[in-house]
Amino acid sequence: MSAQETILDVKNLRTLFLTRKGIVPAVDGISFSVRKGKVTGLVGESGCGKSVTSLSIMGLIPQPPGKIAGGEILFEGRDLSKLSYKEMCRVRGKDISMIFQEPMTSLNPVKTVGYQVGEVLRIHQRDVADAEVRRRVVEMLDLVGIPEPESRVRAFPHQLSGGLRQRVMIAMALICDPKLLVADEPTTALDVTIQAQVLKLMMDLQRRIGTSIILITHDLGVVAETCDDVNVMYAGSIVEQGDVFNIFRNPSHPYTRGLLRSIPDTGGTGRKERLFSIDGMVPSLTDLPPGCRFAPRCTQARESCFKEMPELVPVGEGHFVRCNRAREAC
Amino acid sequence: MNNILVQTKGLKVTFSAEAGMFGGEARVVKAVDDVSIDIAERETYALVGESGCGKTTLGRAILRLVPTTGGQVFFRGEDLSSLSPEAMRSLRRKMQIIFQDPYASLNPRMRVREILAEPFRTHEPKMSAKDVDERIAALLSVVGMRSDTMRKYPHQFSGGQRQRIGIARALALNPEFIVCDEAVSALDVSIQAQVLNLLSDLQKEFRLTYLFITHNLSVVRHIADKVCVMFLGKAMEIGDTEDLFARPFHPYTKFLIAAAPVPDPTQRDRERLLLKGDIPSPINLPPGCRFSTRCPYAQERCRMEEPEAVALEGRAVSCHYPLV
Amino acid sequence: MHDDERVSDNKMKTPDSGQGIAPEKIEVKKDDVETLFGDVFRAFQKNRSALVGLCVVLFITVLALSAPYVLSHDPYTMNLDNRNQPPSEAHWFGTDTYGRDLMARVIFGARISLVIGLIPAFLATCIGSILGVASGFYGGKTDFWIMRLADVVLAFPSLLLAMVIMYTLGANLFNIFIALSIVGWASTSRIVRSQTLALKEKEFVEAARALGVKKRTIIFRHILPNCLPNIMVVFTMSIPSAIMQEAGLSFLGVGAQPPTPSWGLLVSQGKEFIFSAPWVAIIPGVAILILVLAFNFMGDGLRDAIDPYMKD
Repeated sequence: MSAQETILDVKNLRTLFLTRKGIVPAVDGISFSVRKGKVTGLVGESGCGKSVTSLSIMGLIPQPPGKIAGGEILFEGRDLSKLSYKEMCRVRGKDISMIFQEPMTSLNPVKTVGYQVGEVLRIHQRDVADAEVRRRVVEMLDLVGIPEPESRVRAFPHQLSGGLRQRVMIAMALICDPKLLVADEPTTALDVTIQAQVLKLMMDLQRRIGTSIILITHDLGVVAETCDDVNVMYAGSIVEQGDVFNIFRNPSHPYTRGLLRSIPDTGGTGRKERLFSIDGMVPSLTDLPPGCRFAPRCTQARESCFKEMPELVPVGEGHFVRCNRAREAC
Repeated sequence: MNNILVQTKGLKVTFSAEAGMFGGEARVVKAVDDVSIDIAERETYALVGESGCGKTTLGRAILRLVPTTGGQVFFRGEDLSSLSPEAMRSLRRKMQIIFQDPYASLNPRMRVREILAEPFRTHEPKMSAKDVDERIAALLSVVGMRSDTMRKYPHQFSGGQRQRIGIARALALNPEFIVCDEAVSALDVSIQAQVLNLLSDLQKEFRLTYLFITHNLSVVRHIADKVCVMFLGKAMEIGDTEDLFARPFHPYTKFLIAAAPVPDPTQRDRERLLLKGDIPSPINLPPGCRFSTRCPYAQERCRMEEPEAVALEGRAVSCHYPLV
Repeated sequence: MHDDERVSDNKMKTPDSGQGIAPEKIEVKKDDVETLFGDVFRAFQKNRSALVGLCVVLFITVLALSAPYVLSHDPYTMNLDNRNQPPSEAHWFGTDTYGRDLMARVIFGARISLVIGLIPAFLATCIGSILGVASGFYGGKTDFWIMRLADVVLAFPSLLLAMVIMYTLGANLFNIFIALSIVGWASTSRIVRSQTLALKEKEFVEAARALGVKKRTIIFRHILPNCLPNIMVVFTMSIPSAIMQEAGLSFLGVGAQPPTPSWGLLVSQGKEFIFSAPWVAIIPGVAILILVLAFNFMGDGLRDAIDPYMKD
């Protein structure tokens, strides 16, 4: 099965930040892989380390205060964390590209969108003629569903709506046919109806071009709609990993279960019932509990959970859980 | 049935970008355009819509935090625009607001004690410091926080905790009506659930009426009794929550509901209803129905003539061709 | 309504049903009371040039205050046998045209420069803050007229404007305060106004309005305290410019009058002997340089320390 071929292997990645309050292990030993042509989700709440993971992959961690302290990021067998700045520049935008959450601040306000999309091409393929760049840009804007692309290439970012700006970002990310696209909360800043459009566009393009995608989001709805594989993150580590159907049908970590049950019911029957909610709050990364990081909030925690950090153990085909009670409870 | 607590009649709010010193064109945005809603006592009334639909402005206008340009707001039958500034100030204890951004809604230079004392200092200037402290401690315990948090500054708390402090401030003067402006939108899912539960507990305990402003439809469905769907300053459809979600009459309502992602991967291959195009600019609205440029059912009449709200099976729908 | 009954016996102060709001479990972040000023102070401490600036300012202040007790010479006593002496053991900085001890005059001059630096800068900052806050908060006509007035003040070359004021009012120390305050408020008011405009839209100000807090209370309780760090930076930065302006005015003869040992005046008097007795002009000039630099370093450090907190 070609689906088993992986394009990116993250192995035991540790990214630290050195701050006045001490060392913050924002990402603490996570491993996951991205299958070729598939959408892999990184899900979690704010501060769980999902964005730091994506920035580590892109080599965009500000150093200092950040530091990749260990692990490997294997992209087609090459360890990205060992590449020099120059080498990484050649990978970024060409082999791996990224879409950010905020389409307004990610575009340069004083350059036309056509110039900005074309710039990526010019950086990575120096010998292309201007007319060719222009043709490719128009083609790309058309592909991402921007109406009247010939005239829109001359538009400035502020002349476009949020949805169109995010489409421009997608065009910019895809113009060099990257093998991997890292999308960090690509639709969070958009309105619901626009979000639905942009998600559909991303999925259509993904199917058409075959790009692999890492999708970072806090929205379980978006995950269910788009991802093939899911990694649930909590306080810097992955707590559950598996196929999207497994995760939603058979969530095995108490945190995943809690998250899923916290979503206000969209099915319609459960109005006015109390929502399930996870007690307490996410621990501070400078002051992590010694055992399982979720134990202080977990209703099923036992004594052993407070003592040692559980390993990621398999509970089914390609389904892993970091919980001491995974096998007995479910 | 229930008494009406808050009512708007043909409420209008316009914002104008002022012309410069040497002239220039002043542009006018109708943020809220002729909206009439009735909020019954002790119910949760939701205003839903996408950005720029005027839901936040409507909430502010009801509290008279932004000036209105037409129509009226009634609180227990009393026209708020007829009140003197003094009378309005004392009525403010009855109507409060909880904000979206727990980072911007608390003054960073004040301790929690000072933040929560402000309602009392404003409306009960004679209350002794000790009584104020006792009331603050009680408020904190109502929202599930320890009273020793009084000495701290807002930046020492997480988003969820700050939101609780904001809720405590709104509750301080025993209000009857609270506008919750995207009160849970900035919070993580698990914290959002905690705060939603807290809000519904408080509603029962203190017999509160909520105006819940949000773009999150699943939250609306969970918490609201009645819903008003807004689009570009106008109420598109008003009705009981269950009913409206089960059978939307207005095309916009239908598409809005369909656009929300469903947290169930087995449904990902369902047929998707997608709206075309973008939300039109509120500065130059299309003629006729303002939804007509995006509406797949729009006909000639929709582009010419603005629809009036019509009553339909207990709902108000502003559409020439409702989906009955 | 039976709904009411259910509510009344359901006293859910803190529904502790394992979900929702159990107060005991809500922990506050560990590090205890930590204020904005604490953070700023820590950042300031780390900035070496700011610390040097602070030390120099403190040193000069102490010296100026203790001048009568530590100096062996009187700054006003003339000794015509001892004119324009170069620095020596008896007179470390030499003597001036009238044989007065230059060191005594420079140290006494520091008193004037510090007072001139602090008082007009303070007055200008106060006037500027109040007008700026009023302009930003009330908007409309108030804003229009205050800002046009500021435009007018800023459009004049400030030294020229100060000179005009001094000519009109007469040259004495008190009038220097007035002249420099009138010249200095405009830029402060602009900075405070723009901050007020940003703060006015913040939700905590709206929350105060929703509570029915009076406008003036909102200004003093919510707006000004949040502008304070910036106002302090502006204040520190306007001290050196006031010192410079006083020196300029005195140099031109419309500031402090002889025999007051103002630094600007000392330079002015020394300039005639710049070739025969250069120290008479150069030493007070260097004193101005050092004090102004010290204040600038301090202001820069303060601004850098405060900046990160102003961004969010």
